[in-house]
Amino acid sequence: MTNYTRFLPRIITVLALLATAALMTHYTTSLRAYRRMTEASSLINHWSAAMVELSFQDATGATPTLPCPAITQRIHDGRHATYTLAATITRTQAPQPGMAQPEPTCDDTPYYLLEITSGWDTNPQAVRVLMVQDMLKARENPELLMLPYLRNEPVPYTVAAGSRLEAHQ
Amino acid sequence: MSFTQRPRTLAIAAVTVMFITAALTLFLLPPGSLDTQHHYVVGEMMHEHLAAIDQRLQELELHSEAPMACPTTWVDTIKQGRTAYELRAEILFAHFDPLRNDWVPTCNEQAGYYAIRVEGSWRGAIVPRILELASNRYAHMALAPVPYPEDSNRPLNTSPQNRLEASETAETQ
Repeated sequence: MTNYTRFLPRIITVLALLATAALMTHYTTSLRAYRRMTEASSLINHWSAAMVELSFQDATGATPTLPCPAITQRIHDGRHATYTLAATITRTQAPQPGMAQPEPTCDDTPYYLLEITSGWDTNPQAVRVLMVQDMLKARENPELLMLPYLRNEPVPYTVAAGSRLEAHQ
Repeated sequence: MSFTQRPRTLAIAAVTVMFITAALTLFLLPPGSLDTQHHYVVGEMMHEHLAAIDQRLQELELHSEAPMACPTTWVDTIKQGRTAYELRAEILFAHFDPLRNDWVPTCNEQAGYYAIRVEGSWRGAIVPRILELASNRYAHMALAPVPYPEDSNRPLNTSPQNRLEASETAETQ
């Protein structure tokens, strides 16, 4: 009985301090994840706009300049992490009713398939966007395309042909 | 007598700290809650600020002798509670691009729309909140006023979005 009354308060103290430490760790981990997700989601908006613009330039150019699949990547130093912005541009067939997900292809179709991701070193695809751009009108009337006012782009990106699709086929 | 000599007091203090930490981190201030709250407040503020931007554009285009600069930037600071919110508005002209089915910002004087971009931020913001929209230019509306649809019972609202809607409705009619 003496031991019980002597050690119980100490055990409770240790357990309470451990629980407090666990709560603080959980809080800081969650806050870091929230900050990174928020920043990655914000970055992917600008990155998507740049990739859509790249597709328009390709579709309205005299000769298509993008390889298939075109893979591009940019590293961005953010406030809370270093982010990797990546994009793969291929083509796809015309959307059909009942089609679950557009399938990438390298056929010469006017439907550009853009797979855009944003993330950090431990989670490089934290945010993923898949979109299909219909370039039929842009291809038929390239002279109508209006060039946007460009804000300063901090780092130029490079586009390289990827081998992922060939490997898949 | 120190705490170490009073284990019961120490245990009660540790358990109290644990409960306070749990209440703060799990219920009162969970991760990201302050940021979300500021995000919501600045969003409301930005929409209200559009009226001031609209007024300034009207004065700039219709009553100012100098041509409107491109881009035109206004930075306002609004304090609410203990937080100061900075609203940065950047105005360019815009064309409607039928290929993109969207407005394209430009500095071409002949463009028929404004491209309005409002960025709201506060101290410690992770990312600023951004609002982008297009509206008809006052300079063009003064030459060819846009008729308000007669059959509409909607109250007359001069916000940029509504003026744009009215213009589109008039064009389609």
